[in-house]
Amino acid sequence: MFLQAIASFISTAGFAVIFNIPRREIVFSAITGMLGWLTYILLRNDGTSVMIASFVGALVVGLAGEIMARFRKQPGTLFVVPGIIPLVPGYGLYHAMSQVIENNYEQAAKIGTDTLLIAVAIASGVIITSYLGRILKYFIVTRKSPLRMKLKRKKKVI
Amino acid sequence: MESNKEIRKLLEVAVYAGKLMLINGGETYRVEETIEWIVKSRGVTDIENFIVPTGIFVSCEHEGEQYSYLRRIRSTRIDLEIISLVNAFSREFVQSDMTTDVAMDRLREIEHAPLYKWPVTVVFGGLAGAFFALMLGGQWPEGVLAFVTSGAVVAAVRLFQKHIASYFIRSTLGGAVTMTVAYLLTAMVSPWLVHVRLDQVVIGSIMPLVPGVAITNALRDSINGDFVTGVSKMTEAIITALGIAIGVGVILQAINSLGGGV
Repeated sequence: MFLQAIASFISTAGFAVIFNIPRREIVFSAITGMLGWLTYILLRNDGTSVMIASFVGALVVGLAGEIMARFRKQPGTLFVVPGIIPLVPGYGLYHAMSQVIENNYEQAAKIGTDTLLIAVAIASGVIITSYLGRILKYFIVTRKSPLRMKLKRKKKVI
Repeated sequence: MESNKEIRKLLEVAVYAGKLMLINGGETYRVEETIEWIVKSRGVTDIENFIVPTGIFVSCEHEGEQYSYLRRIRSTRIDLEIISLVNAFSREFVQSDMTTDVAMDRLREIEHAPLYKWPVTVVFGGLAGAFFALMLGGQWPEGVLAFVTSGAVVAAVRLFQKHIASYFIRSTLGGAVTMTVAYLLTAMVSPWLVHVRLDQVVIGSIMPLVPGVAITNALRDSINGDFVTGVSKMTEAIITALGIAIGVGVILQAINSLGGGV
């Protein structure tokens, strides 16, 4: 478990650098990725299905990302995009395509469907937290805020 | 905001900011909000925009005059630094009385924000691949090989990004580089180390190439109701994965037909 924590921390940091993240945010995005992956692994070890584990992992990533975004005054994407890296089924998509090339269409359909469903689970996890973040922001942003003053004609904030 | 010219300039600033966000991996809703905020902050209230990954369309109406602006967009990549900078810029622009000329200069500066130096990217890319191999059940020797391989892959991708326009060719070549380096390293090492699985090395080091984030973002957009964006990004992700698979497959075929069994 300790190895898993270290490994997910470092590989998320590596991807954050590939995505050219600002230098000060590397550690925070790596923590986000580590939390998501640890959640996933703990659930998987208890025998939860891949779908549910990915969904809850993405919820944790999204929540951590929103908290970091408030705390570091940066858009949430900076932490969420590297954070979901350990969870996303990129290899599954590649695997499905390599089965297509080898004419194993049944395998390709099976792996492809799994990949798609896992991606849906992760995407919905992230979306739920980002909406929570926006609703909170809507209530927290006060009338005194200059942003609100400028935008007071706009009816729909969320 | 009186003259027509000023409003045209304002639209130009808004679309430029939106374009920078979109080509560097910003979400559709964030781009829409940024453009809307920038335009509305100067008193133009009637604005509609339509954002797809291949273009930005904005039109607004002010005192009976219609203005519109269209911009075609081609390359997309992920550059979080630029997203962060444009986000800070749009906040500042909305809250202050920055003129449009100053704003354009600021945005041009942001567009050329530096990347990490390439040795840094290569080392971190190598670490990412190595620890991915460990996370997915690899052993230490496989992790070390994945470090070298994925470092090479990241360096190659960075080189291709500068010189090759087509993302499909880029991913095909990326897949070919991964398989070649991984196979050569495994073949060199396996006489001494008993058990190095080529699969595990490839799984780790192919991670910087595969479009995992792209497919997840595609579904995020679709779930949000941006269907055109969702379908378009999904197509890009599938074709990227197909390209990688072709690159890897061709090299595997070549190895097999040369008699070097895996």
